[in-house]
Amino acid sequence: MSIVQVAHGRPDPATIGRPMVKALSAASADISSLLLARRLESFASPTPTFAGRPLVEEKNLREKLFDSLAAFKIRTASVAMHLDRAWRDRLFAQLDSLLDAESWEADDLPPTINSFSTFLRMILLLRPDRRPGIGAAADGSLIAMWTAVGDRLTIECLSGDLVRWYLSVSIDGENERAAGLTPLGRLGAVLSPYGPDRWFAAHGNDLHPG
Amino acid sequence: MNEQTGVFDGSHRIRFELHVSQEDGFAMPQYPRAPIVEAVIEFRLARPLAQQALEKAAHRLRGAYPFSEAETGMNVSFTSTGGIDTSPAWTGVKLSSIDRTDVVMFRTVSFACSRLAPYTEWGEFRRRGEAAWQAFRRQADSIALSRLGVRYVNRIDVPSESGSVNVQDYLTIFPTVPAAGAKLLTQYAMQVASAIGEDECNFVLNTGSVPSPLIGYSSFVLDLDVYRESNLPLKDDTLWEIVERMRRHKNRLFESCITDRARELFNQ
Repeated sequence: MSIVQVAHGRPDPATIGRPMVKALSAASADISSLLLARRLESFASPTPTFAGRPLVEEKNLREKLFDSLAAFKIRTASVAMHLDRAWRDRLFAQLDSLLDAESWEADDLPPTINSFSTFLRMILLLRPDRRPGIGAAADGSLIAMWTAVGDRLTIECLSGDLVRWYLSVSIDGENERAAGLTPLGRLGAVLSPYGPDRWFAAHGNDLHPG
Repeated sequence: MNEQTGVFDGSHRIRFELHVSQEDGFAMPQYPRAPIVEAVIEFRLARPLAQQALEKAAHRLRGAYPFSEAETGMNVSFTSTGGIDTSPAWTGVKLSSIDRTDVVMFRTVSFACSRLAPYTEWGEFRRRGEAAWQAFRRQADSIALSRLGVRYVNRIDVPSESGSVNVQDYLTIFPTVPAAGAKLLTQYAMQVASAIGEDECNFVLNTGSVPSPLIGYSSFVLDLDVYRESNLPLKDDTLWEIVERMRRHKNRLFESCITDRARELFNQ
């Protein structure tokens, strides 16, 4: 029997893709138990690339934006095998532009890595042909936006696979607006009554994410 | 064919069978969606190098690696009054390419070159490693090594609409748990270490389930570290020849650990 159950909860973004081992529950002074515990710890420890500790200093906004951009690109690398190369390059260009220090005020809060993690998981779940415009909210959330002939969809990516969405569409000549706070796993279902292909389907030269 | 089989008896039994082909001419398939999360070539030093030398070496590579980050550890010393003094200590520098996927680490105790996903191909990775090593080596009169390592961390992302995945469908190395012990595994981790039996190389294989970066998927890590700690070469030509052979051993291990269903995922 070696069947693994797929986790249905919303994982801590920091644990995604990282080996996890459970600590042995009963303390033991036995040397072999200690050795085994140490081996298990080594399994979960980072590779040489991520083993070093960066210099910790008080950082200004420019440095925080620089760190955020680096963290977003490294997080993207962890799923890059599922992304089209050109799509990834364009995403990086969008991030370079969004996190350009010239466009930020000194007391602004850069988007968090947890919000970006939700954004990436959303893109890999929905796989939209059309890439969203991206922006940042004052609280550190990343925002994805699609517009099609006056119909708008805005998705605010919160940490922990939660999204807050707003939409405005014209259906049968009537304007409708809707909004909600939804776990990412249900986003496709809650958007389906509004025909999300109006935003996500390919137009002209759009690239599929992967 | 060198076959290695291990069985550990206990309340939970774990089986593994590795078939390591020792035939020359082994050709590693090129997968369009290779599951490589990170590839690392690491050389550990027998004697530490000075900060100044490493910073000079890092400066030489600033064209290919525009981002440079200092890394620190902690010096701990005991005072005459029985107290403890701690101070930050420079341990190395991490250099990154503009897209952050190519990384070089010059540390006082090691050299490492790594490539994050998307992985391109070995020839390119090795060339980058050699160029960085040349810059590193140029700053030291003599370098003695204590370990060579080639490590590839793979993550296999398996779609699962049913809510469960049979590991055996994708990996040939997996835990088997008696039916009375559990209905479904929620997570597992296992480690196998062994000599390869060629080129004085050993390997450590870590595998286990990890939280998937994709919703509705199960993910498994297959982390292969091939290393050598004895009779380490002094000349660069021989050094890279051994690295090349270590990489071939790693490829054979990898191919022996995956099934055709896993290969289908990498070819999609």
